[in-house]
Amino acid sequence: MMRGAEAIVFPVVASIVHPDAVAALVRRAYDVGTVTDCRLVERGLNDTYVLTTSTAKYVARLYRAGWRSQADIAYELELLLHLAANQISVSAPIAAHDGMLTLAVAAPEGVRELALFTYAAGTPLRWMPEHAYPAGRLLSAIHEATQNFRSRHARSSYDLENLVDIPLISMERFLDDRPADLAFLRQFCATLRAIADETLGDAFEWGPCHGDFGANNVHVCGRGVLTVFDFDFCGPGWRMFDLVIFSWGAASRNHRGVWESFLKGYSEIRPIRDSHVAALPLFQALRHLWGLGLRARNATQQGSASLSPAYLDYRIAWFKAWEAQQGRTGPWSDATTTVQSGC
Amino acid sequence: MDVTYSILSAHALEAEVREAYDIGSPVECHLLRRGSSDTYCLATRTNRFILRLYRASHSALAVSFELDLRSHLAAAGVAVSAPIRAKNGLIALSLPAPEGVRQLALFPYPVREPFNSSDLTHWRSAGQLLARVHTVADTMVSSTPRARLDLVASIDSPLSAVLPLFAERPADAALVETMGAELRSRLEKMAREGLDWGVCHGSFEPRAMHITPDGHMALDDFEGCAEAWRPWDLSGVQWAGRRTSGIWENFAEGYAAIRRLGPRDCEAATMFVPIRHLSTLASFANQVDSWGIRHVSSRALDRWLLFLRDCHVVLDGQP
Repeated sequence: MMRGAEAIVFPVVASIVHPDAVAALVRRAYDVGTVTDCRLVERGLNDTYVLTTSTAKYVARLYRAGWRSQADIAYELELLLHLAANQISVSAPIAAHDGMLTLAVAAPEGVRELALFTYAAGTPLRWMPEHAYPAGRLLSAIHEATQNFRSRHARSSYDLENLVDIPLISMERFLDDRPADLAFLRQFCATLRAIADETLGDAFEWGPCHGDFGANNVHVCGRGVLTVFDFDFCGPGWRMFDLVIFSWGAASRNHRGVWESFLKGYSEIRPIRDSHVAALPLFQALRHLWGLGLRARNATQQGSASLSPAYLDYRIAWFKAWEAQQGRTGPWSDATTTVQSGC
Repeated sequence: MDVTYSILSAHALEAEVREAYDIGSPVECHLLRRGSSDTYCLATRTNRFILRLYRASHSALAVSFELDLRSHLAAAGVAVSAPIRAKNGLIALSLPAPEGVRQLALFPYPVREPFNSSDLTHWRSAGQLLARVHTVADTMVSSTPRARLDLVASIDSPLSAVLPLFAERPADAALVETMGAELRSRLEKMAREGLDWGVCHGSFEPRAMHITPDGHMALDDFEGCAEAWRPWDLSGVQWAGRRTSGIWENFAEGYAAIRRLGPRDCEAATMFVPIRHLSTLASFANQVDSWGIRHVSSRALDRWLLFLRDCHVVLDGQP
């Protein structure tokens, strides 16, 4: 190792790799034709680039350093290959020359993994029944095809520890100056956990989930060919949990028939009990709590302003309203048949 | 590995500040938000500070001019937060980030209330504030070279940065080019006839203002400061005034109470709305490798054009 050859660089926690450098990495390691263009499309928890080569378009994802473990990533990619092998239209990983699905990239902040995927052609899903129906079928097909999916790689799951306990711990330091809210959140988490402990368990099916199944991660091409991508949030969980993101999208757009069409599509492949649909508010609350924890955990890179007082007010108010509406006698406690689509 | 932008470690920044500044020992530092510069909150046992980390594309000279301007304004009693000097007397530190040298400046932590756009007295104070900034800036003696938003920097360069985005949309490219040319000739003519020229804030809008505990209107976000035609700074308020009556009138009264507000400058302000709009897209185009293509996606370009057309309609209604 040469010392003094490189200038001292200030310590960083994350960096954006130049698109040209990503293109060079792909050119060297993959057999995808000549790379003619590479652009950064998304800076998020990971950074996403779209590459155009002489043969096709691809998506390169650079995982943030320290964001996912090697096992997490291996699980995700294995799941995608499994889905592709089962004729589900996904943006699937591509192996490098050496047969590996990931490439280690030495970034200033540490090693980052790069994965290359097929490009999901089309445009984002729109909030209309004609799109919601095949989207429901697609999610159902994913769940159906992964019933017997087993990976030798451990992937953190959407269990109550990850949905309730860890988010609460992550949030505590952000509520230092809001003792009343911290007390409320502790009590709310305890309530939620008690309800979930009692309600969930074996009654609700458990298996691989996409984790962020909404309009942004599904592309529509031509006459109803849907392709799903971005499984960065995938993991074992209650399958109903996977319907939450879509239920919010459908409700916030307030388009009649979107949610019903989605459920119709879903239940055509996998029947879904009314009492399970009625439990959606519970999964919505769990998802919001988890999302809050996510913001807290990523504050070093996204900035603590993502947990601004206004945002905290808004989220705490949501939890309070939820508790007032659902907390005492949840609709899931007996077999009610109302379809809950609100968020 | 070639990187275009990085997030510096809050922990390492804390150590850097401990060494370089005489503010007591920092006990905590965290990233508040990322933007055209990254903002951190730094706390000692007794005090809080804002640490601003400029992008590598912001040169040491550009930062130095901004900080000189802030210090000059603050010294003259304008409610602007001035940088704290390091032990070695400098107002900024140079940090070797992977993407290039970045400047760090430290400011007192502001205690403040947000600007309330629906409160017309706030607009009046905003007018007074901007007039004072313009007047006091005219008295600044600084040898630091500063950006000059002349015809080339305000129209020609942004236009050439933006046009490639419309490579596959020839009709839109033609519209942008025509409008650019039209703006240029209008501005050239008006400038010849005489427009107020001097140091401008550059991004004067409600977001940059807040109310101090003693009730003063204070100004922040000076990253865009430069020598320019002063209507540049009036344009945002004038545009807001098109939608809500009273905004422009109150602002103009406030401004005129401190500094002359010529009819020609008011008239020219409208023209700077599309000019600034052009600059915004140009900065997204120039930083596409670090911000991503989202801001220049075809949908974003559609929205951008829509606004440009609005401006066109308004300008056409003017003599």
